[in-house]
Amino acid sequence: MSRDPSTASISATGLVHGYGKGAARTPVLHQLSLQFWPGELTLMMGASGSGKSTLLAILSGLLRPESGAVRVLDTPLWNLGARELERFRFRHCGYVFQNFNLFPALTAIEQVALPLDFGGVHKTQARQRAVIALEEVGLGTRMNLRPAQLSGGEKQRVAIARALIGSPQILFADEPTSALDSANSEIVIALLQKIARTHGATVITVTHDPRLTRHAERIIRLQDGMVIEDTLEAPRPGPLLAGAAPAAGHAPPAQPHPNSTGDFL
Amino acid sequence: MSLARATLLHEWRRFLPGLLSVAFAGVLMLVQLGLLLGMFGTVTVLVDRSDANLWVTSPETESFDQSRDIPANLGALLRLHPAVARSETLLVHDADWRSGDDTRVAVTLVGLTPAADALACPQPMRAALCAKLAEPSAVVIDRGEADKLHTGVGRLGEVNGHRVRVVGLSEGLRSIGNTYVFASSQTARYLSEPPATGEDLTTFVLAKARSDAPEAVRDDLQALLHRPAYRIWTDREFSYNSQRWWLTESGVGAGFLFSSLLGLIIGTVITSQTLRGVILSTLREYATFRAIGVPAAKLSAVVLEQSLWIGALGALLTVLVSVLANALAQALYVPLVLTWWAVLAAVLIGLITAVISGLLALRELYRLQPAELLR
Ligand SMILES: Nc1ncnc2c1ncn2[C@@H]1O[C@H](COP(=O)(O)OP(=O)(O)OP(=O)(O)O)[C@@H](O)[C@H]1O
Ligand SMILES: [Mg+2]
Repeated sequence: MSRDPSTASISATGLVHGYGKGAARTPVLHQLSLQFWPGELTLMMGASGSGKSTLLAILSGLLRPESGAVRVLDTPLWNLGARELERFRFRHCGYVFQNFNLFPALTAIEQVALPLDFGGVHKTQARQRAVIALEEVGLGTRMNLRPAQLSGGEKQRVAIARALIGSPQILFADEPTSALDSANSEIVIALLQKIARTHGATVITVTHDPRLTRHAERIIRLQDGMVIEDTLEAPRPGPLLAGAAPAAGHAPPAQPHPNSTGDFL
Repeated sequence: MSLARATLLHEWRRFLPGLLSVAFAGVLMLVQLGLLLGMFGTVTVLVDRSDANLWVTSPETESFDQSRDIPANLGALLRLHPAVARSETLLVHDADWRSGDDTRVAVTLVGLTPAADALACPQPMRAALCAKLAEPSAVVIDRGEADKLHTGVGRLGEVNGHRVRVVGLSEGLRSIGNTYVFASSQTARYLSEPPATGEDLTTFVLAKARSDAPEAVRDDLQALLHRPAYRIWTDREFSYNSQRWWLTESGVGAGFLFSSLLGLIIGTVITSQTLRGVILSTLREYATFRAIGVPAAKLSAVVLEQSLWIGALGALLTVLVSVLANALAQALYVPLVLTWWAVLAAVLIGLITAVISGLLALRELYRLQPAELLR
């Protein structure tokens, strides 16, 4: 896994953001710069209100920062027009949210195929790809059930399959496990990590759950809109690291990230 | 299945109020219009049920119930036209009815040629009743008016103080605002108040032109009759004009428009609130698709498809209920007229209502900020 800044899939520089105007403005992000690389699952942690979701929204092209730049896959995100930005997100980004956000009326396979339907992909092809995505998240036998018939963990896996269907290079997840019990949280986070590794995707996940850290390649801690810690996790033994670069493999536990530009305590 | 249809089927209870309000607005409109047309259609029942295809009236006449007397001998003039086979007079005068038990009712005395094949003889009276009018002092009333006039077949009554005898009851010759008492021309003249002396005046002169298109004959005759003095119509024209006059000039038509509009507005509000409720209940899901980069326009298409379905199903329900209402009305002798163009208009208006409702509900989709999913 190269730490070469030029191979980063996401580079954010000098991000500043706050809510409200004038004297009522609450600053949230202060001159934040970060880079992310493909094939890694990065966990973003920090106290409530530390700006995690705000940062994720800015990185994922959903919220325009007050200042600073975001390059995703060598595209300066916030220089794009609204329509171009939509198209960019459609082609390159996947999203997983805390509340699953599945249509109650649709079966799992219809949920997953829906983004392709909107993209104009032929119905039968969309279904075939939805089957593959659902099998990948282990729901091959649950494809015809509606959300009301699925467990929370299964619903989140459907949502992940839906995020995967467009083969995004970047996957954003905001607290994807906070509505789940620990066993399901493990399944979901392991799934996200597998996606990072096997698809070479850049996966950024916001979480509060400290038990999930062992599934991540990298952990970033935010406090008051600043990075206070940026570490590479110890690699686990096993053949999982196919496609992962040696740099991560040799990294000692809790090593400060070489390219992060946050503050360290 | 499309998202729109899947949601409709899965959450049909949510959509039901919208569907019902579209259907209700449609039924309200159709039944009201049907009653109006039915009611106003009765104004011209004697025109529509007669065999004549040319009608001469006084010049200021706009509706059947307005004509003033004209010379009866115009008929001779009409017969000068080679295409006119026969002509006849029809007398229509206000009169006062008094039954055996002293019930008094204002009626409309109709004097026609007492023969089964008379031009003016209304179709339901052809079989027997018109010929029976040849008896002196014989009158026919409609079965639907018998109770009102407190009389029946064979019973005696008085018209303008002259004794008459009811020789039969007709079917389906009721009219709004007029209670017809049919008599022979001769009897009617005698009963009229003041009595019509001689044969010089009548209310209408009727003729039957041999041609299938009486319009040409009408034009010829109009030239002959020099317009300012008399007006000549084909039967269809006269009927249409009379009903249109009632619809537009009587104020009832405006009332109908107002209440139909009210129904439509209420239907639109309820339907758009229904659709809005459905959108709001799945706002997070829509926002997710906005985040993925699906344009708001494509999501709008989902809502518009739903509104079209609501419109189509609502319109279907409108048609079904209206057909049932029509059957019920026929059974109860309520004059309700359901025309294909009114049904078509109701269906279209239902669809348009639903689509407008959908457009109003779209606001919610365009207000969506997918960033709000990240909190
Ligand atoms: N739309 C908004 N309007 C005003 N203030 C906002 C808005 N969104 C977030 N904030 C504020 O910005 C700060 C950072 O919010 P953010 O959602 O990024 O925090 P977070 O780290 O995701 O917190 P949590 O762990 O509770 O989700 C908070 O103080 C919050 O109150
Ligand atoms: Mg948050």
